[in-house]
This record gives sequence, structure tokens and C-alpha cells, in this order.
Amino acid sequence: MIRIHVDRVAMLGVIFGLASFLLPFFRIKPSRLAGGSPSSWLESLPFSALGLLIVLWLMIGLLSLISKSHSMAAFGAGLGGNLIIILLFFWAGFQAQVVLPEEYTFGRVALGAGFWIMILGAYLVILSARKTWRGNNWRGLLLSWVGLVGIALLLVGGGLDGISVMEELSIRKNRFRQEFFNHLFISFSAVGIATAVGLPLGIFIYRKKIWEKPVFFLTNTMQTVPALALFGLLIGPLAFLSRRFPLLRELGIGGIGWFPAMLALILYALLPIIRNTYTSFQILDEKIVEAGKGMGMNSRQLLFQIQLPLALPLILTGIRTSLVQTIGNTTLAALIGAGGFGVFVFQGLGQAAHDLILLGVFPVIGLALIADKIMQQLVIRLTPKGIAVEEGGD
Amino acid sequence: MAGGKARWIYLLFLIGFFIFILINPVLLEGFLRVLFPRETMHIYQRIPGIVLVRQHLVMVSVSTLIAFAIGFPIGIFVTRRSGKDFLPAVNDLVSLAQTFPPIAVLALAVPILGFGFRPTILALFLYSILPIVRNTISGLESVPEEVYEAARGMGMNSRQRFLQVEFPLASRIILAGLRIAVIINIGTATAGSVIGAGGLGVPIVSGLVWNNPALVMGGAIQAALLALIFDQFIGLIDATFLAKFER
Repeated sequence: MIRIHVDRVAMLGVIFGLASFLLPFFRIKPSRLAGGSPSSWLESLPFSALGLLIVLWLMIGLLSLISKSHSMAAFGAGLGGNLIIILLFFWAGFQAQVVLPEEYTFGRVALGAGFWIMILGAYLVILSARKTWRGNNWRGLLLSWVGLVGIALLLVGGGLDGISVMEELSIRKNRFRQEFFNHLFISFSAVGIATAVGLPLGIFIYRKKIWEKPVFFLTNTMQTVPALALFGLLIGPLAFLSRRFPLLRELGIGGIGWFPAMLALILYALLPIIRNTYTSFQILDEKIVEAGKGMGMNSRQLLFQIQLPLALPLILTGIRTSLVQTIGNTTLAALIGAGGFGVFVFQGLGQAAHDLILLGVFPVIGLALIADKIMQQLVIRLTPKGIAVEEGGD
Repeated sequence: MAGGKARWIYLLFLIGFFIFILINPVLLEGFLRVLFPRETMHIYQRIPGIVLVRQHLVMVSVSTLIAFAIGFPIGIFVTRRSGKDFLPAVNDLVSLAQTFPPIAVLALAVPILGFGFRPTILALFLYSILPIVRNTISGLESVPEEVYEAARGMGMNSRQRFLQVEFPLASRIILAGLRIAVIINIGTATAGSVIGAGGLGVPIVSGLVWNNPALVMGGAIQAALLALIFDQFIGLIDATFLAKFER
């Protein structure tokens, strides 16, 4: 007898998926800046596509009834979710040119709420399947990656060019590349410098405890101050300095530009790194350090052969937090003339051009997610075998 | 608690200083005049500072309250037996959404709701629900199994167990989540002035647009003070009322 134990998370996904049919699939806009009118699923997609989507959702729904007790059913449902995501992006790109009325020469087709809600539903189904197929077996990896690889291929292959955000990109490809490198450069050098400063500082306050309180007070205060305000606070002193010392001005150091942005981001990124370095040394087992001393290690050997390797995972976790936060905050740096993807966000906000805002926002989110995943893998890989804890999920 | 008095004095000093430069901008103006002798305007005059502070506080408090009213029950639900199925999914969604930059959430709200006050509140709400849910879950999960079993053994029903045992023991972590939410909201609301929401970001953004660093600096000082005041205040609530639940 099949014991029925419904997978409620996947079921929620199915509900989202089916409910999304009630919301518009596209928004069709007569021009780049116009508000546009909704276009339903019936108007946007061919019948065959609609039929296939409905069949897929019903199948996922049926599989979710038994997927708690049958792992292959969970796998099937997860694959179905991935397939839905790929199909949605494919048809969105394909139909975008088809649905645009002839008289809209400068018309744009943007993705509607229904599209995004269905993606969310499919994502919930995949999440739930990933709980059954956790870890790095091939089925689990397939569930995590098929959809993403599909979207990436469509993106690279030009399959999505008809969608309004991509049209916004096509008219400023060079600028996009330039701001991409700006964004990467600012974020990564800020976190790099913050690590170079924060790591030794964390070790220092572990050894000289009287400095612990003042250092944490200062870095905590930095983190509390709003990012925009921190940029603002640096403008004054730096503008003052660059007026006084022309040499600094020639180096490009002033109240506006990449320098104050980088400085603010470094100050912002320090706390997680210092805190995690300090904590990782603090919680290190006294006995291990004593054993090292007993083996005749000097303090330098202790640091490099025992303390640092054991502290590394937690330190890297701090750098991960800093990196994700910095990639986001670099967006604001555009306000003080430092460049980065924020340029598109704030231009878009200024012109009320929604597609331009999205062109700035999507890559920032993508970068943050990728950086997060890479750092997560790095933490897992660099954890010494002796202290490794089994970690599930992706 | 040791150092408690010093922290109260620090908080009172911050509040006093904040109010002082708010109702009597002469001091701030003089300071900015020294830093930026060439500017003709040193204090933002179009909207009185008190109005900007009020707008800022309304945005932050409304969004945080809604986020707490929704996020806290979600956190409780997924740690109960009936909602346990949803715990992994909620955890994953929260940690995924946490990587979204707050400013991105703010910018994404514009295509949906347009410019102004309401999209800012929506964005602040969406972002601040994350630390609240996450800390509610980790707070409730951190209650040791033995304590829970002991409460059962004493004959408490599930409602009593929650109100008298679990919630008090989790309250510090939950408050820490609320603190993160408030601080992020104060910061993001500052950026909210870019989408026309008002608040303390207005002088900063106007200063950036008009190329007047004095305005930027004046606004930045006020916004920073406001964030520091709330940070200290919540920290003191924690130290005064909840530190006894230290485990």
C-alpha cells in the first residue's frame, strides 16, 4: 500500500505555479518609458506551450503526493520544475518578438508578474526535491544546475534578446562591460584590503585583550552608520585634504570618485572579518595549542601550522559575509561618482526607465549569489578534515 | 550589568546631541563652514530637519512593525510540529534572499509600485523580514532539548511551554534579529530618498546632485546619529531586560 504523505512545500510550489496563470505573462509597452499594458498567458503563448505547462504542473502535483515516500518521484518533480524554468525563459524570449504589435516601432516587451511567480513556484518544487536528493550525487547536482545552465545558454545564445532588459543592454554593451569591471574592481579590492587589515588586527586583539573593546566599538559603529551616510561623511575630510595637498588631488584622491567609495567599503567590510578572526582564535581548543607548545613549536609555528589552518573556515565565512555585503553596497558607490552597476540603477531611477534599473540590479544580485556560492565551496574545501562537519544541501 | 551606566550616558549624549543639532543648526553650520568655506549653503533649508526625521522614523517603524508582525509568526510556525515541513525551504529562501543587496530590493520596488513613500516601505519590509525570520528560527531552535523536555515533564501544555520557556530563552536572539532589521532599515531608508521617499537621505542626495559636500555631510551626520541611537537603545534593552536569559 502506498502511504500518502503529501510534500507540502512542493504543493505550495504547485499552487503558486497554477495561480500564476491568473497574472499577466508579459507587459507590452509602446515605448521604453511608457507604463505598458498586461498581456495574459493566453495572449502571450501558443496553445501548445500553455498545454505543456499545465500538463507539467499537474504531473508535479501528482508526484508530490507520493514524493515523501518515493525518492524517484521527488527527483521527477524536481526535474519537472527545472524544465518549467527553462521552457518559461525560452518562450519568453521567443514570443517577445511575436507579441509586439506592428505599430509599436520602439515598443518593448517586459516580463510580467505571472512569469516571476511561476519561476518562484518551480523553485519551491526544486528546493523540496533537493531535500530528498541532497549532497553531491549526480541526481542532486542535476536538479541544482540544469535550470541555471539552461538560462545561461539562452542568455549567451541570444535567445532572450527580445526581452526589454536585454534591449537596454544591447544599446550600451561597452558601458556595461566597463561598469562590470568597475564593480568587480571596487568590491574585490575593498574586501581584499579589508582582509589584509582585518585578519592581522583580529589576531592582534586576540593577543592584546585591552584593544578588543575599542576596536570592536569602532568597527561596530562603522557598520551601524548607513552606507550612504558613510560615503557622505568621508567626502568632507577627503575634500579638505585634497584641497590642502595638491599631490593627493593628482592621484585622484578627493571627496568624490573611487577613493572615498573604496575607503567607505573597506571600513564597512572590516567588522565581519575582524570578528570572525577573533572568534575563531578564541574558540580554538586550548589543548591543541598546548600540544603544539609541548612539541616545541615557537609562536610563529603555532600560528601558521596550528591556529590559522584551524581558524580558516570561520575566517573565510567572515570574508564571505563581507564580500556579499560589499558587492551590494558598491551599487551605492555610483552616487559619489565611483562607477559600477549602480550607474545604471541611478540613471534608470532618474529617467524612470524601469528596464535600465533592472539592467543594474540583476547583475548585482547575480554577482552576489555567485560570490556567495564560490565562498561557500571554498569554506567546505578548505576545512581541515579533522574538524569538518557534514554539511548538507547546496 | 557592568558598564551599563556608561552605555546609558552614551545613549543620552547621542540623543541630546541629535536633538540639539536638529533644533539649533548653528553649531553644525559653523562646523561645516570651516570644512567647506566656499559653499554658499551649508544647511538643507527646503524642508525642516524635524520633518525629515519624522518621515524617516515613520518609514522605518511602519516597515519594521509589519515585518515583525509577519516574520515572527512564520518563524514560530516552521519550528512547530505542524510546520516543520516548511523549515528547510524557508531557511533556503531566507539565505538566498539575504544575498540580495537592500538597495537592489529598493530599486526593484520602483517598477512595481512607482516612486515615493509606499515602494520604499514595501522594500524595507521585504528586506527586514529576513533577519527577523532567521533569528526567530535560530532562537527557538537554540533552546536545548533537555529544557524543553523538563518543561513537558512539569506538565506544561504547548502554549505554556512556548510562552514561559521557549520564547524567553529565544528572546535575545530574536531581539538581535530585530536590531539588524532596524539598522538595515535606517540605512536603506536613507537611500530611499533617491526614489523620492523623503527622510534624512534628502539632504545627502541633494548635496550629491548639486555638488555641495556641506549638505551631504550635514545629512550624513544626522543619519549616522539616528542609526547609532537605535543601535544603542536596542542594545540597552537587551542588556537591561534580557541578559538574565544568558545561557
